[in-house]
Amino acid sequence: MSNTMAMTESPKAILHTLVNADGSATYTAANNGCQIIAGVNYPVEVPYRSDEIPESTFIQVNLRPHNGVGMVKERHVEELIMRTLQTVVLGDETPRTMLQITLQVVSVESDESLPGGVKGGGQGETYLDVLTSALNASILGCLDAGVQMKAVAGAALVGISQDGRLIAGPSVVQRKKCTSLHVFAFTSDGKTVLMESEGKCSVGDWKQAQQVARSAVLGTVNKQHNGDVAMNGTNTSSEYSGLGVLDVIRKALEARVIKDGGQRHESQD
Amino acid sequence: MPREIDISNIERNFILEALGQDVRVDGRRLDQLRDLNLEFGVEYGTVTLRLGKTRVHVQVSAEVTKPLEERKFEGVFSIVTELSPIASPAYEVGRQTEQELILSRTLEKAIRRSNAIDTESLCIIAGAKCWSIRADVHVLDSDGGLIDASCIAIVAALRHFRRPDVSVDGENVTIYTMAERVPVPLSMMHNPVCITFSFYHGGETILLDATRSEEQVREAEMVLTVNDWELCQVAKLGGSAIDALVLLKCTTTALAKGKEINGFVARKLAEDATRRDVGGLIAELRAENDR
Repeated sequence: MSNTMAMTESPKAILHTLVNADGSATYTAANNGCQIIAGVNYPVEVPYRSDEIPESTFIQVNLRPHNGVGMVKERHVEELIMRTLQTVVLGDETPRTMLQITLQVVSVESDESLPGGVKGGGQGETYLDVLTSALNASILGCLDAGVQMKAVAGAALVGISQDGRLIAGPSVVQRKKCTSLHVFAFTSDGKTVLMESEGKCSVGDWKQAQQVARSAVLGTVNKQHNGDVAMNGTNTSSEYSGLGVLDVIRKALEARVIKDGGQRHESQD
Repeated sequence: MPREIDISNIERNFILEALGQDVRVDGRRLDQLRDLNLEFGVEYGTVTLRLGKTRVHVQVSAEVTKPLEERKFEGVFSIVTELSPIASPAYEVGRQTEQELILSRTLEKAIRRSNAIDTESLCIIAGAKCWSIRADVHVLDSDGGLIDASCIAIVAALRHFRRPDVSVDGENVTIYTMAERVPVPLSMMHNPVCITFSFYHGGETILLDATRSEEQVREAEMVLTVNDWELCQVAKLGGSAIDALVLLKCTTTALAKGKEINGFVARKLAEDATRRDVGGLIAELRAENDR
């Protein structure tokens, strides 16, 4: 069992994992955590006229747990993701349409090595790990579907343990021992778009957690001060040296562009 | 309201004309299934099945509940199928389509009502406690053959699933975690497989495992459910009439295909079991129990 502070393994993201949806992505949290497949249909007709927004895009988020039916917890996460996406998606580009995001939880983290066994994702468990993966998966899905966005956002989960240590991306066992859990989402230019906390903590701890989450999302790779990254193709090392969530998203996008670069060239002229 | 894009007349005629010459658009033989692939998750009872472009994810889970009043000695088994817009924009959230209804009813008939699971073995204390087994079917991509794909995936997931071991001491029930005792597999009575036949040109051309475009131009369909020995179910919901002899011929084909598919699933399950064993998980647990 490793009790290191940093994530031992970076999250994984693959774009376009489904065939029928307009855009899709599979996101796996660090250390084989919560895995979510996102399917994005955009732009589609709004099913109910009352939901139609005359000057913007209606965003519908659907989160489906891997077993059982979605309940209060899922509805809450859906609402949070919808509100976060509203701030990044350029909805006025496609008025009177719908951005439909379906998130399917495919696997949750479980640890049976301890007596009693611990499993994430149950109705009584925290929703913050699902929220983190779900938000990252929806952003990836939106990227794949060609949704126009102001900026790309990424989320990270930070736990504060009893002895005051900050753990980025805590595992299911570590989460049980944390006094508080925090989710922060940042856009690529470093602005905070989502904050969710659970448990008891001081304002100082919370601020520290935000810093840890910021570096987990933005990474520490060579960035210009506006958040842009020079993509010259030379920095292709995959070693984990401050590889943040946004770097993972960027790498997934790179892989996708390389994979069907030829087709895109043909269809874009 | 969103709906599936109707197939164009040109495509329809093309497919039908090709089928008239015993040629399928994707080059398969008439009785050939698409590539079948099974992936098992880390957890027991997690299966992702790919049948060509169709992709189905099944999660089997168990919890302890009170048995039904009228069935005190039996556990509960349910299959939940809900088509979400992830598979196709034509599926709406919270609105059941006819296709969805047929899918869930057929699976219910094929697996649950054919007693694939021995529900009596799920009983812990008669009338008080029993296992409730739930299979959640998530269709991730739909390109035809949903019934066949879901059925294979559910049966594979049920065969892969392990429930925690329990011990009963009078009124007290102890549920052991996976780490304390080796989890037990479900007791399966048989392994049903659904095979869908599609009919064209008045029943002259018979196709197995039709893709979505082939499904859209067919005249009739028939779902046969078979296990390793016998026929469990015949479902023919409308469409053109089929000759009795054709039905008999289909039954023979279905039995052969069913055996083939069950063999494939068994092989994949065995592969997964060895993989898990080499990983040391099961060996470790067994060692713990020996002490």
